[in-house]
Amino acid sequence: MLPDPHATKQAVIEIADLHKRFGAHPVLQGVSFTAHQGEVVSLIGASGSGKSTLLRCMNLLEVPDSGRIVIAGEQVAFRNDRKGQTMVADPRQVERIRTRLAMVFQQFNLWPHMTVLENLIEVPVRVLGQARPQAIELAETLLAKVGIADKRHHYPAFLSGGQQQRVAIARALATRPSVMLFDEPTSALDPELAGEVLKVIRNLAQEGCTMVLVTHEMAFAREVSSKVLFLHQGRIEEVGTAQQVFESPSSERCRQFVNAQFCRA
Amino acid sequence: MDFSWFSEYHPQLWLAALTTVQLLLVSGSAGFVLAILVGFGRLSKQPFIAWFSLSYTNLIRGTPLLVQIYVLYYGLGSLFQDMPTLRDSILWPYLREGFWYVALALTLSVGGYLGEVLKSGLRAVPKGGLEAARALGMPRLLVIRRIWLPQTLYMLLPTLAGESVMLLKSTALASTVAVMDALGVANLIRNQTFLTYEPLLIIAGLYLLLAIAIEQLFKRLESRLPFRNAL
Repeated sequence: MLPDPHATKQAVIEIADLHKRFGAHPVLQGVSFTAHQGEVVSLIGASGSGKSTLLRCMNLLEVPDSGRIVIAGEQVAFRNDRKGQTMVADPRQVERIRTRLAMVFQQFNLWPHMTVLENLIEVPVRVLGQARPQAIELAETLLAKVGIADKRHHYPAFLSGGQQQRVAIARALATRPSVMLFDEPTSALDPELAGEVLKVIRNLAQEGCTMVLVTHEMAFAREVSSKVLFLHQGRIEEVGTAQQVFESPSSERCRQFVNAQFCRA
Repeated sequence: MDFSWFSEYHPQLWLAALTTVQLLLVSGSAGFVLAILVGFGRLSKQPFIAWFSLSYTNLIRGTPLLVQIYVLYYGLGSLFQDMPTLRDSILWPYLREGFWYVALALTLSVGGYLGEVLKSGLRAVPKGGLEAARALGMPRLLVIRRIWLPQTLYMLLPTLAGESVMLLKSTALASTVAVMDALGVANLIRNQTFLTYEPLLIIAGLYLLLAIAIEQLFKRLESRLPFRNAL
């Protein structure tokens, strides 16, 4: 048997017993998992299974009702407000943690009043305190890497969806994050455009970039993931390597979901 | 038509035009800052701040500007007159002047009207970009300064042009409390020359020119935004 590949690798995201409800509707009901350095973790499951919420809890875009979140060894501190609602105790800590986790959204969410290059250097210069020339240099390297160096002075509205998403990936990479979070990065794209985005993500995975990915692209998840989590009704129903989850899942529901997804594709 | 008075009065006319422009710039910029606070206040999740901002805009928009000017000038002004410490202070030369009462009234008015406009504009900015900014670690104020407010203002440029012209025209009310602005001096000339129309025509032309200048300024600003189609 091979040695555990994660034995020496550091845990970058540790989530323990996470609970979250929207009103009366429980979205996460005790989710725990760990992502190690260099891992590509895919979250799969039907709509409403809580995978996006789980991802958004990692960088505190959603504040969980209870549970533990440790990012790069730093535990997020929570407190209760007057109504008993959980909230983050220290906004500065959250800002610090967020600079280590960069997120890519389904709708790209580029800043429309800034050029592609300005989108990329905004956070490095204004938040991370990098010198402008260095930030520009890194930004241009990253744009070349995602294949849109020639668009650096364009505004987002003049790019295709696939190009916009690649800019968004470059923008996230420009902050030199420990982990990349992808929230259905290709769901808003035509299959053809999705392909170019998936190619970029695949390259990142091969370079050893740590990623957590919410996706409906089952073939892609099977190909790039080192770990796959299948969520159902706010619980992790199946977890394992891509091979385990896609080929011999122990949960019947997971098997059905995976088969249905592959048949559709 | 008799414009023979013009050679005698034109230095006063320019001075008066300058007063009008000063009134416009002072209350325009101060009111703009206030409007930003009111706009965000209207969107605040703190019930008290939201309530206070709403009450403020209701108060300002629900009462005539002329009444507001009178309340400040005659009301506040007469209160100040009875305060010996104020009368002896270095502020008194300003507090005696109608100009500053009108500037304050106009500032409060811009804060109310423009604040409401800004509220809608702020709400119209796509949430996704703001969320992305937060997700990448931008502190709240930086998100506002670099992402939220710029997009709002670019989007609102045409409205801001209109509001600025409205403000220009509102400054004419200054003449009611003895400020020698453009209309004030026109009235003065009318009284001294017994001419009714000529001074008013000149002054109307002046307001028109200023209004056109404002429109052009904003048009130029707008045309310099290469992404204007994207907002």
